[in-house]
Amino acid sequence: MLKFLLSRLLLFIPTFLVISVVTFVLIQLPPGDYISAYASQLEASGEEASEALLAALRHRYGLDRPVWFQYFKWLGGIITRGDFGHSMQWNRPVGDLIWDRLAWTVAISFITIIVTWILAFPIGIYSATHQYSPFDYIFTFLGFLGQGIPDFLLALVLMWIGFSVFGLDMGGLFSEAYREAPWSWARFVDLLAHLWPPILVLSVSSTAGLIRTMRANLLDELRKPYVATARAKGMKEWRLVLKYPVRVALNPFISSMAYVLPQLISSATIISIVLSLPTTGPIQIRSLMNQDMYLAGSLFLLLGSLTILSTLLSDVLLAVVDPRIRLE
Amino acid sequence: MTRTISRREFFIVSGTTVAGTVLIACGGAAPEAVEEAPMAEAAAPEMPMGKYREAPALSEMVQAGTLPPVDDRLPAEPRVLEVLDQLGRYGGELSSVVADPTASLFEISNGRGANLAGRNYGLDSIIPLTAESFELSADSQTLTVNLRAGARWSDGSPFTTEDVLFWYEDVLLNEELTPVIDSDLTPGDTPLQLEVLNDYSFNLIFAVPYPSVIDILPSLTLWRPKHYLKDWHINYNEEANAKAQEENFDAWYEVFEYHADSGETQQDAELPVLGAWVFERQDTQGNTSYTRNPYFWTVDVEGNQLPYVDTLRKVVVENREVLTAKVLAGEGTHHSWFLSLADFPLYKQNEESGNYTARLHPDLRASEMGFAFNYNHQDEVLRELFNTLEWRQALSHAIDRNEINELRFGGRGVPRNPIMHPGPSFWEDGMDQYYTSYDVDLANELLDGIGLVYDSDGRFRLRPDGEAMTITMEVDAGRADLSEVANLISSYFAAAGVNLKVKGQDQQFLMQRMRANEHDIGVWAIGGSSEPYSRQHEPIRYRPPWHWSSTPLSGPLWRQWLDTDGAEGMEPPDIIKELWDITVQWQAEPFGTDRYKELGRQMLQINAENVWLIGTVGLVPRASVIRNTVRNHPQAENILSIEYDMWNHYQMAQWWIDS
Repeated sequence: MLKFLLSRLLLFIPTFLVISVVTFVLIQLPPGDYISAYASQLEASGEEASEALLAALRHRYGLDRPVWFQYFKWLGGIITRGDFGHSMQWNRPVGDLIWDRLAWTVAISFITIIVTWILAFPIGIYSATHQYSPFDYIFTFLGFLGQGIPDFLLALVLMWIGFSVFGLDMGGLFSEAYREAPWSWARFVDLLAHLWPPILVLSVSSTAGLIRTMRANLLDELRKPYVATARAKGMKEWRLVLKYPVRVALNPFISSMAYVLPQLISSATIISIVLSLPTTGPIQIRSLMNQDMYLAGSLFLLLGSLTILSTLLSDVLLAVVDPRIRLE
Repeated sequence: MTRTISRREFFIVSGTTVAGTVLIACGGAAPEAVEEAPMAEAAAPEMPMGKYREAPALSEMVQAGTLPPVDDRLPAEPRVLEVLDQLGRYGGELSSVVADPTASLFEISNGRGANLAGRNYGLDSIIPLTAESFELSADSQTLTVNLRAGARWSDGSPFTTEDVLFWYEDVLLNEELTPVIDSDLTPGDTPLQLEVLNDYSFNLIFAVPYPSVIDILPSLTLWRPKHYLKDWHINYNEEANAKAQEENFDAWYEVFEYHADSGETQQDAELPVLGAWVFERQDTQGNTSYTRNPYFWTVDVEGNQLPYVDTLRKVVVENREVLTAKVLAGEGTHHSWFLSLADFPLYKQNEESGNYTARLHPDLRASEMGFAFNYNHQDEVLRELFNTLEWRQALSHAIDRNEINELRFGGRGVPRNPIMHPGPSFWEDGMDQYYTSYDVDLANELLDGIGLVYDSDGRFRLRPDGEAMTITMEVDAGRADLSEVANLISSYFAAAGVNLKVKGQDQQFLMQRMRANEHDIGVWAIGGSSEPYSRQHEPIRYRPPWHWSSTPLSGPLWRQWLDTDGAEGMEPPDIIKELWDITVQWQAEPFGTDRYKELGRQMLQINAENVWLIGTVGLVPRASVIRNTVRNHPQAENILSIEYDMWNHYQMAQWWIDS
């Protein structure tokens, strides 16, 4: 186990470097750079963005240097000083901008996973044990519906209902009064009131998926001979189901962490923009549109690393839960 | 329905109010007369001694001994600002919502600027703002500026010509900080010179007569807080580069700019400013707050120190739908820049529940969408065709501007070509209506007349050389409004047998293609077309390339030829040379003279007759939403336009909240 952990952690280093190179190169691929994006802002405010000025600005920000030079400067700063560089668009150190947002992203994603499990687990078991019952059909129908509705649309509809029916202001995580208040019970309640729509929207489609997986897996297990044997020996039905087949069927839940997290982070990008949440999503899109490369690069690097770590976490958990899985 | 805007609704800038104006005059055309409000007595707590009064929060600080008394903080002769409607009471907050954290939010930034000069409420003159007065010499080569003796930065340090000299020598003339000096400050291609007369007066000296300098004064700040910034400047601190390293910057000029930034991305809360509110903090979402400047050098007629309102707040959301929801819910005190005319009925419906009033104001944009064929096209056949007057006349007639107006702007705009806005002294009625009638038969007749025959299917016309003709209109893909109109135009052109394809393009890529002269048609929203804008910057809409030359709509090579006196680029036809001369002379002519009017008229006339720039619908009003408790704000008949820097001249320092 220890050896496995160690080798996986060592593998993390080259993966991290590959992610950093790929993101940095990808960001540079589209035409133009931050300065050309800045030029259109200058024009809008009535200043001529002459070629001489743009060239001087490129020199100022080091954008006239070769890409590899910029890359090593950036990576060097991260490794030696934990300095992620400067966001040109915000005139702020990247480090100032991302940690809060990263924390919200992780928090929202994990709450969503937990909610997904809480919903999908009992429903999946019920559907499998009561196959082709009226409730199984209802859940199946809702499940397909949940998979089918685009989440941004659901978010928009929820936002409109919140505004027009309840007079709620749905954007953001806090209402006007608590936005800058220190933490208190009232602020926490305010947060909960704003947190459920994004959590609901985000969990709908993954819940639907997991219900289907749980149902299918459990159905397979329920037909296996060991279940019949246990039943023949007079074991109580619920105890039997929960103790053996459900445990086996749990595997996809845990391995889901590995793919649900990146999925959540990317769909949370759209939801966060729609619902105006303080996660990494909106800043990520904007930094890409403005080619604010140190900000964009740092964000992708950190989100990529998070994904690697969560894969590792789910592998370890799988091994713990299912003794049949050997890590070596 | 079309709405025309009468001449009376527009005010011209008269550069005559210049020297020695201390009071802001409410011109004859000012929105509303000043009214003495009975509540003025409640304006401030009792301050038995002293000449001036201040906000309660500041009085407390004075009593606690953390701030000098208000009389000591104000200059001997503070600027006296007449209020727009009624005298105010202290307190409250002005706030607005922005859908892009680093974008300029005029609703807030307009409250903070403190430029050399500004415009009065009636928009009919340019008046001193931070300066006490200014005067241009008879030969138009020397501008004398007097600062307000005793005015202070927001940290209490005196504001003097030291700060002007610092700006001139150490910022403007420093090649690291100012690699390229703005053309506004280099008349005759020579940087202006500074001559300091005493602590509060200085001269700006120009190499050539520069009468239009008055028009650019509202956009100038000729100072930086030397006492605060010098520690980061290499001329004053040899260790500046080491200091930069300490703060994780590579070079002194980077860290200097970081600390000197007083705009939307300001981070340094210690930076002294001259405006009415001081940066307080910005969180990681971009939500920003500003608090009152205790040293703001302006009072109302009763001697109450301005601003009335305690704080300014910029609230950031991530998209326009959330912004709309917040506006409808009544969040924020005033909005306009991010509002959409299409949502105006929605704003109106929710007026009562949101406790605000939605208004439509005159705006001066000449055309919401306009385009120019590329008159320097690399393909010789197309180039010659585009330069044929009948071609442009025909396609201007082919556009159904009324339909565009109904479909896109609810009939609230004016179908027209982008020839300024009615109102300037050199404007003649009908200038914007050349070849704008919707007449497909006439269009076809004109195109037949220049020998453009149909292909064998009879669907589209062929190029003059007999090959199939497809013209591509590339549009910024981020601007759904432009693509929508472009698609309508494509269908109108098809009726005249011209095959036009619309293609959405990434903005950066599109700009690159335009700079490289690789496009068929340049498409943009035709703003920057008004008289004040053309004076303050340059007449970008009335000569090649009909936009800033960094994003040329058409004819970049002509402009290059004109800029380099024929050394580079492509020689333009005589009419363009003539137009160029006229615009250059118009710019150099003092505002309002007979010659100014004649040159201005010719500039518009040549553009109108030659339709290089074809427009669709212009003079579309601008929506505003203002909370009902706000006082002294602009009314529906008042211009609200980016051409006049949005809310700037409505002086937010005198707005107040009636709670």
